[in-house]
Amino acid sequence: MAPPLPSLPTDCLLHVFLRLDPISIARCAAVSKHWHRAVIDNAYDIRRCLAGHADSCLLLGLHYREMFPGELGFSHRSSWLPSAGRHWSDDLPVPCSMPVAEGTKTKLYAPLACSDGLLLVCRGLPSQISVVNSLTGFHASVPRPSGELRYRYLLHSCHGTDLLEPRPNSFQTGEWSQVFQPEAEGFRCSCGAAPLVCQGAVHWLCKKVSGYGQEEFVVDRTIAVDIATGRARMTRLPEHCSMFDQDVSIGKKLMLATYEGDRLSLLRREEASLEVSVWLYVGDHGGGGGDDPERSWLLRQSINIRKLIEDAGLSRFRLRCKDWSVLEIRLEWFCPRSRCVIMWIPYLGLLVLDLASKQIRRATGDSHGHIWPYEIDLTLCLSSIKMF
Amino acid sequence: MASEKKVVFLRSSDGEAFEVSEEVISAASVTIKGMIDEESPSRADTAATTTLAIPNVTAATLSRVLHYVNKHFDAAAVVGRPDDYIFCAPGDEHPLARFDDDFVDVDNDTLIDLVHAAEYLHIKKLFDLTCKAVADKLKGRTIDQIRETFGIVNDYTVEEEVEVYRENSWAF
Repeated sequence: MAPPLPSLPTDCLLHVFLRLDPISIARCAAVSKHWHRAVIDNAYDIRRCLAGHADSCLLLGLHYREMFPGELGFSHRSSWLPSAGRHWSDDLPVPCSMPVAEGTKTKLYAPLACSDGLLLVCRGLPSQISVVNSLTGFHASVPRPSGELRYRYLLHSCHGTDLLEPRPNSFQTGEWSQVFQPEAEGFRCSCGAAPLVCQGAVHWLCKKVSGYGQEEFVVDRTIAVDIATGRARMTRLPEHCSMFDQDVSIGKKLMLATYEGDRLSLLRREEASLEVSVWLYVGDHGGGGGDDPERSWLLRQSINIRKLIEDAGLSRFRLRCKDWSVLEIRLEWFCPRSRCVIMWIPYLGLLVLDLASKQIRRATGDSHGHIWPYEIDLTLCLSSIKMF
Repeated sequence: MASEKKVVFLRSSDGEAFEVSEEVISAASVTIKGMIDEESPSRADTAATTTLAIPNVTAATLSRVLHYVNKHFDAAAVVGRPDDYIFCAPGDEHPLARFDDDFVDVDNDTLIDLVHAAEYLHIKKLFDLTCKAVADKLKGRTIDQIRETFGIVNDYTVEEEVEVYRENSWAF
């Protein structure tokens, strides 16, 4: 009964898989039972070894919609300019398989949040919320968060970000826990700015609320809540990065990001120039700085976006606009896995900037304000292959 | 150990013996180094050369492995430390890079035999090289091509195969 030549033992196959991309590994799993078993048995090691690899932290494209509750489109990275050469993910099908409920059209889905290849979508009014992996077709309904309708959702998959330490309040297998918002006395999150998960904590940009009726609240601090312990910590922003809430929420001038590994940082659009400055949080390294915001945040770099656009040959897209100085950058989204920034510039449209390599690309689809970057670590799918 | 050139004989599974410098093979293969260390107390006083049985490796494969070992681990043949070339940038044309490419440019059965031999003998560099070569043969192939290339029999039932396809449909 045994096959004549059991080609390679499982542990040899592991070393072969470590040199392969996730698509090829998934194909190997379908070759025979022996190989299927080899993929399942080695999935943990494959994930651990490939986790730091650039290909496992990748941005496949952007989901976008034009109007609420508009049609959900997808801008695939292979369609972006300038093309950065063939990438194995370009062969992937467009992730668009939404669950089809009876009597509804799929296009009525509207995304609310996106992380680790999972999309949090709602149908019509957020009466029914579900989590979808639009690449594999997996979907699950989520109990509706209590109380009022919220504008910002944060989808955090504990399984995806922390491999070695499964957390107690895990979001997987139907166990849901609500991450609370730090609405302490006198502070409120800036509702237009996306929270960021960094080093096991969720960070929000926050404003100080001094009495009701005042429109001009100043965003001048971040509040971080540790996911495991629930402890909160406040950090004040440097003078240069503090600004009115409407500049953050509507103007999109300030954004939380990670930089130089997994370190908390701020991206700020500079006034009247196409420049973005990167501020690195060094407060927990200096020691003596205490809560002095000017010392705990370090101006790390200024990125000249105009130069990057010109070098990439994208300046032809602003033909109708001769004057660079009227252009303003909107910092739309930070993609935590691929460490890319999605920004929108009038005439130029949506641009994807890789913070590490400083490469800039132009994404097709010009629907700023309603985009959800789609990143997925495909080695996660390998871990969930079923055994016979 | 004395600096004089000692040799050992390795006998393959089909009985053929190969001569190799003890120093070179000890540097290359963890398994054989262990065998030699085990033997050495008993043969310290005798002049007879050692013959080690390598029961899992055929003569054809063993001769290829020794060819590789002599190229990579013989201090006389390699300029500088034997590990130096690992730190070369990928674009650097190291003399052994060309040799390595040619070395793994063989048919699949030979290549798989080499993986087995490298694993059994614990020759890490050869193991990495051959695994990489196998991976290159798998990359971007369809399932049927992989089965054909490596002579694998599809032992799924129809239902199981449908299930596997459905589960990983994103990859096909």
